[in-house]
Amino acid sequence: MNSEVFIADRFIKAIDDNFSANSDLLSEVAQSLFSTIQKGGIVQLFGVGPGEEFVNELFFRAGGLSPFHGIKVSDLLTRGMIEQSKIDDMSVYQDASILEDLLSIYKLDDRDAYVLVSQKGNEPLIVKMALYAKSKGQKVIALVNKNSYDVLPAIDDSGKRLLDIADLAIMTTLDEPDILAEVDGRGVGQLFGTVANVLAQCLEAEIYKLYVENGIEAPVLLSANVKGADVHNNALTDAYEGRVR
Amino acid sequence: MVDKNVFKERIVALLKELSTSQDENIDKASELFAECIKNDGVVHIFGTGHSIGMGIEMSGKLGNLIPIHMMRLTDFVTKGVITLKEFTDKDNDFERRSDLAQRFYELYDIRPQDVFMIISNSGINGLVIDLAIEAKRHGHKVVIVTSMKHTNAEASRHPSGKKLYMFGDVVIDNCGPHGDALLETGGIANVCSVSSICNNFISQSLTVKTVHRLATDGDDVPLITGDTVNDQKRFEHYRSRI
Repeated sequence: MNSEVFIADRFIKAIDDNFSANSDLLSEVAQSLFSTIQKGGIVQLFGVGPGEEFVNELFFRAGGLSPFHGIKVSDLLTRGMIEQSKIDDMSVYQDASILEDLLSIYKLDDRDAYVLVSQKGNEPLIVKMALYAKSKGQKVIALVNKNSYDVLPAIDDSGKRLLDIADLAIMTTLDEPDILAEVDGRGVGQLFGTVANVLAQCLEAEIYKLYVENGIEAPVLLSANVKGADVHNNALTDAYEGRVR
Repeated sequence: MVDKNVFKERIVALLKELSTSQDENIDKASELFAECIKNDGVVHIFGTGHSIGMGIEMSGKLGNLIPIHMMRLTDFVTKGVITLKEFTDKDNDFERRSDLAQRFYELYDIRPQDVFMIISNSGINGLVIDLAIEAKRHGHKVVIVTSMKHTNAEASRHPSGKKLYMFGDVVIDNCGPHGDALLETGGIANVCSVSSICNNFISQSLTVKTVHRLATDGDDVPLITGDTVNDQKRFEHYRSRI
């Protein structure tokens, strides 16, 4: 079976469509985050479920920029503050009461901005995180899947969903659910994780471009598996005094 | 020149290259997965750092196979193999240690018919290589996902001097560049890494191909369908293993 070509076509179409739908917005978001970074802020990243891939895409990554930080529910896990089962069954995202514990792990700063990723955009933990950021006067950028967002109700007790709060929103236009292929009548695989990762890298490219246009050297991290990278990378992250790692 | 348009063009070209050049390897890996699942086996997936993405992509979501087990680095801490301090060490020393794999293997309920997929972009660090050796020692088939350009450009950090791909029954090259970043800047550091995008593509292809094989052969397809009662029953079957 040569399904590779078919799968590649599906992915490339999804990448093309979602890139076109968000192209101008990616530049606008890049400008906004670049200005946050220039004012001493860092970009806090958080994602629900597979949205965590987007976080990983930009946080302490080879070829990435240093002023990004990932907020992860697994950081509560390794500190013994929640059970593995809450992550496995995704119930952790429904529980906004853990927000304070989660944020207490990190060195946050009022100059920071937030990029919050959720296909559905209605989970209480991420909605409350957006409200927290806004209450501090910080910028909130959302990434949701429009066709999921549009059919789902608010479930947080504030009655709000992510786009009620965000300053800017990148929206993918994948089906809900975002099934990749039909095999023998079964829905198999997904598109969102890959498409969101591509948008993350497009965003990074745009931010890098702004460094160049402004004549500022970009703080680009090297692969830790290239000789000498540790020294280079530690110098970039140490400048943020524990805020990025 | 670096901007969103350049990245989009380049990643699309890379995915095309990947889909053509790795078709046969992905096909072979899906054959191992399908055989494993037919024999009531589980596929164990492990990758350090950003390679954790393949486990996230292939498990726990609508349209994914159920007998997929993600071996998480965080299990090292929650099950007391290493301390939080070692885990959060800036230089990631424990990923380069080559004495942990046996203890990692023993954390889980692993059966003889199970298959391993081990992912590392560089393929040079102690932990992943030792885990591959451990899996082979127990007679498991091993699928490796790596960047051949990267692994060929760096020296192994394993005492044997070997690279991860040398232990694969099937090796899938994610076709990413040395250092992972795709776009040249003219400076020392390139930008915009691609391994997770390429690895996602491989993950999704593997799921589709494996399901296709099982369905074509008329075998049971343990898929997450959204039918909560049936899905739950299937999860129950693999409990303690995934």
